[in-house]
Amino acid sequence: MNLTVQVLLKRYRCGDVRALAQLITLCENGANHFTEDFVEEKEHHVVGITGSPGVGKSSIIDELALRYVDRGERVAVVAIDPSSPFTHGAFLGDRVRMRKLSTKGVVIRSMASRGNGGGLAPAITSVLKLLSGFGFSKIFLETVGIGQAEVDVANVADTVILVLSPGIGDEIQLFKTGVMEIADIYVVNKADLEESKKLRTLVEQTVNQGKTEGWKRRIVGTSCVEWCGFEELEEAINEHLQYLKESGELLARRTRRRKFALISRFLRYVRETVEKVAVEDLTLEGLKKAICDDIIFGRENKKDENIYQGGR
Amino acid sequence: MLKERIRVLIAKPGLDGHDRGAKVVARALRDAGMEVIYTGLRQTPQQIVEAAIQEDADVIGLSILSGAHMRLCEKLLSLMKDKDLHIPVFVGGIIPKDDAEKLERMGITRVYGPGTPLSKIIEDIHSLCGARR
Repeated sequence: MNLTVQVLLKRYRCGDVRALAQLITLCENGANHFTEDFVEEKEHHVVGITGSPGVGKSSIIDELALRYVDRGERVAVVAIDPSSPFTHGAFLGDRVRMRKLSTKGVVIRSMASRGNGGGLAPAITSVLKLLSGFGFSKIFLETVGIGQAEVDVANVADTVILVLSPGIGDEIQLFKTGVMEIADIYVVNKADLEESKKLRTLVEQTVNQGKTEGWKRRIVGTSCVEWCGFEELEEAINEHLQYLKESGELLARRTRRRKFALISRFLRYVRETVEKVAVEDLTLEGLKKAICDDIIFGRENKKDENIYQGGR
Repeated sequence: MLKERIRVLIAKPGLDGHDRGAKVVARALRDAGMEVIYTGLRQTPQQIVEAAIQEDADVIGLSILSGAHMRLCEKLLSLMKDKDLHIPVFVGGIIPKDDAEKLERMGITRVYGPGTPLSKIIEDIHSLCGARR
């Protein structure tokens, strides 16, 4: 661990938001190893909010998070928007909709997806660990605007909320697997529009079909124009947390998150190795050799690092 | 993709509601490979400084057309000083020449008037942040 990280961690443990933000940047840039041994997770609840672009995810978080602030919880928001596959740049615009929060001491962090196709960002699990270790008890995680198959949020969040709005098609769309299945709570937003009620009825008829045990999925209608439905949504979230704790599912979900973190890290490593080393020999054998070489080189580098640290 | 990226916070302080310029600049920086955090209209200097800290921004870009640039920039810079936040601040908008000079003396890194080529802004940010990132 280098000196900068040590200094930052010290300030982070004293509650310095800037140090937290700088550590998050380190994680985003791939230097996230320190989160494994030097950051301790505290009690927290990650609420994942997902849905297509423009359905109202950020607006819903703006209102919802505020309610938890008023209840005395420490709230953080992580909002992810896509990186460009061409320039790797990104336009992170979720703060525009979170106007109430910026005056209430809520920490908001915008992250770019940086090539991740599952709706989240590569560093997400490390960032969640940092936030929980900092003392945030409620963490809202907004995915990029998604389609039908980006389900990573279900591996990371404790409670998954899928936001829908009118105009997604007929009930056939609701029968499709993938995103439609992963939610614990379904929010039908834009309740001020007539078509929203129809969609809500359809969702009510479909999502619990054939489900006999476990959590009964909740369906809530909200409007960010008339500001209604949020009390019900808050209630559904609280009930789900209660259910998670009582059923033991919370532990299962945390294990799932750790597994996901491990797999993502390994996949990232493989991808980087393929890009870095195995350019000439694009076969599985070539990859194996590259990984072996990398491990041997990696060990040698580590030796150097130890000498360096010992000498300081 | 995990390379370090320049993070730019683009904000509009004060009360004017014309954000075309801010959006054009934000898109240009995005296309230059930067991660641009756009905060939207009517931000207070406090909100902007908080956002820059939380987002770990490398640069702040302000768009001001209201005429209140002296007051707003003074407040922003003093808040940044309080928080020990030392990152470049760019201002774009309708700023009289005399004021632009005053702003730069006050601590604003650069003032861009109408007609500034986008490539110039990109170049400036690269040369200022190149060492950091």
